[in-house]
Amino acid sequence: MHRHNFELIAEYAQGSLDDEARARSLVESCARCRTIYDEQLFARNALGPATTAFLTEHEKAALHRDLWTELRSPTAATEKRTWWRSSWAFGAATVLVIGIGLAGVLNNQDATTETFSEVGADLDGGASDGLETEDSLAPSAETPSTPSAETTSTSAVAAVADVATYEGVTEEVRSAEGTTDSYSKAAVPEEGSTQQECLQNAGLDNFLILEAFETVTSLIVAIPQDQMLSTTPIVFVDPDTCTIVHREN
Amino acid sequence: MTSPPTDTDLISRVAAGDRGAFDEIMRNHEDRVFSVCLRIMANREMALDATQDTFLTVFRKADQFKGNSALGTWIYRIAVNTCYDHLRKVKRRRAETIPEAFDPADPSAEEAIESAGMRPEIQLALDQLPPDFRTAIVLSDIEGMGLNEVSTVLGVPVGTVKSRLFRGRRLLAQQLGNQPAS
Repeated sequence: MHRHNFELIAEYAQGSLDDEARARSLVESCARCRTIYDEQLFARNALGPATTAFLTEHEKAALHRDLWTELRSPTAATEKRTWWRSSWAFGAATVLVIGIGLAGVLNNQDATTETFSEVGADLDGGASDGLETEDSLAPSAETPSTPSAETTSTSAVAAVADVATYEGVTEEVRSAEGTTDSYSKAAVPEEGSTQQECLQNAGLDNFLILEAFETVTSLIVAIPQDQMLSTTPIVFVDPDTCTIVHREN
Repeated sequence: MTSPPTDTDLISRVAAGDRGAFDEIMRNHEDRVFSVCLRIMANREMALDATQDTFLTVFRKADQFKGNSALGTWIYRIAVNTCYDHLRKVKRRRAETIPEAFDPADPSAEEAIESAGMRPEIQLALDQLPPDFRTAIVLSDIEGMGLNEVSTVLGVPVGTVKSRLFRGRRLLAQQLGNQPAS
């Protein structure tokens, strides 16, 4: 039997047909049609006594209260809906992208026996930049007056990147060079304003500094303003020459 | 005598930030949105979350309502999509039944069960349907929407709605014990 006939029978059971003659004929003349009709009617009747569920007064009050609380709280609303605001996702994305980018940078540079520093760890200037960047990525988020957990996450991200990515690369360089040089302490990067000027000199007017740290050489990592980290390109700028040394799309 | 504001008036005022207009829209639609969410999600707490998220979306996207359909239809479409989003997040294959989702010691539980408006075994059978079939049945057979409105809410052709209703009811009947003679 054609599927349309089944649907006709379903509508017949629903009582929504203007002309029931054909459907009635089918049901009376065909055993399978009768079975299907009975099933449809049975399901309709089972659901029939169901009424629209309703909210209790307590639930209504809570719904209205929570809704307005949410609407008044841009931070909460944004955090709930922007996956990249969660520190783990942000951290994972940052590690991945910066790691890939740095690998690209390192591949473009002559390796020396200089070693990597503790990337992004405990950098006052860097922390401020990180805070500014994250706030810019989430325009509706409140700006914390003190370094928050998210600020910490930026440093943590860089620190993780240091261990997970750069250390491995460094070991490769060191073993190739046969050196046993120990890691050097990171130089504190320049102030944010100077770094921002450097970005402008590199033609990156609308970019925000994501982090600044030293690997083989010092680097400024920046992303375009108002773009999500998951989709944005990331550029690596040499702070000495203010030129783009690598762009990771 | 002033006539009550139309849906278009209300949503325009919401888009302009009128809290009173939004409260009125909520009063008009919250029970039905909740009912749809409860039937689709089969869990009262999740349905409450989805209801809240639905109205958050309505408030935030009020300026996107073009008036091509009734405001209620637009809101229910948001509700259905919100429920699907939540279900995807939770990835539950089988949701809890409504009474079991509540602490019996909760004084509001009895009222909540009563307000669910459906026998637990029916809800359980409904929960076991594929989500597409379940949603079509909820909108049509429980909420009483016509085929065209269900089609608009789900964003699928009327023929697809008919097919989902037919197949969903068959499965439901079989799960409830009306096994066809074969």
